[in-house]
Amino acid sequence: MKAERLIINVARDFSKFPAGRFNEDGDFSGQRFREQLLSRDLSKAKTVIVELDGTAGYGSSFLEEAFGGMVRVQKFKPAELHERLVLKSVDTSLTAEIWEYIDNKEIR
Amino acid sequence: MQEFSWIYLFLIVIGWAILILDNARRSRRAEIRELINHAIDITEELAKTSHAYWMKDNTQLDVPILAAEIKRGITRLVRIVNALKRHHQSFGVDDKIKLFRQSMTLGDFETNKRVPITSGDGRITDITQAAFDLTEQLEIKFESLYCSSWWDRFNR
Repeated sequence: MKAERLIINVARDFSKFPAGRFNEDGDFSGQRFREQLLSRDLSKAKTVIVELDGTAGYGSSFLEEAFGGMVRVQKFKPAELHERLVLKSVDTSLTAEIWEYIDNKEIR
Repeated sequence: MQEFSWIYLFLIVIGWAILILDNARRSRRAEIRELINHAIDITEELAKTSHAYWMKDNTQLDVPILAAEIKRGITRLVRIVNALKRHHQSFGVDDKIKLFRQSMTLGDFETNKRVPITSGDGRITDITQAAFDLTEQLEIKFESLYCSSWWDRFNR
């Protein structure tokens, strides 16, 4: 039975310094975030809330790999992610960018 | 005679109100100008840092520092723009910030396979263009809100 919702606070649960795209780029890459946190929690809960604030900042390569990769690699449907994923940040340009990667898997 | 004194009193109150409102507007204008100048400085600094980052080889010691400065700089820029938005929603330039971040950090940013680019590379132009668009947008918003007469704003 799936939990109703899980919260991922990137700074607390992953790193204050997320960096890089692939695992070979560092310990806190987008790929690692996707595989170890986002995918796992989406398989455990109906809704996953990702709190993005509190880190030292994000590179688009990290965001694309972490969130765009959910569609490109993990084969989630964008519509399903819109339904089950909640992104929270004071930076509305950041959440808009992430949804762009989810909706358009060709951008890299 | 008493009628005249009421008229004088009325004019004094109106004049005083106009002065107070004008002072408040001037001080808000100065505060916003300062925030915009700060945003422009950060944007220009970010563009320079980003140019340097992309033209350097991954083996150079300062490359991770430059990458961290770029990410932190964007976060600071967003805070300033959020402060501007609290003054006036039209300072919302989210789309420009998104394009600026993408021009600087999409693709091979912070990856092992990144190779240095030359000054003629399209990415350098994209970063410069995105920085220009962002600062230009802020200047235009400021000009339209604080450098036009009340009559212009009324007619807009």
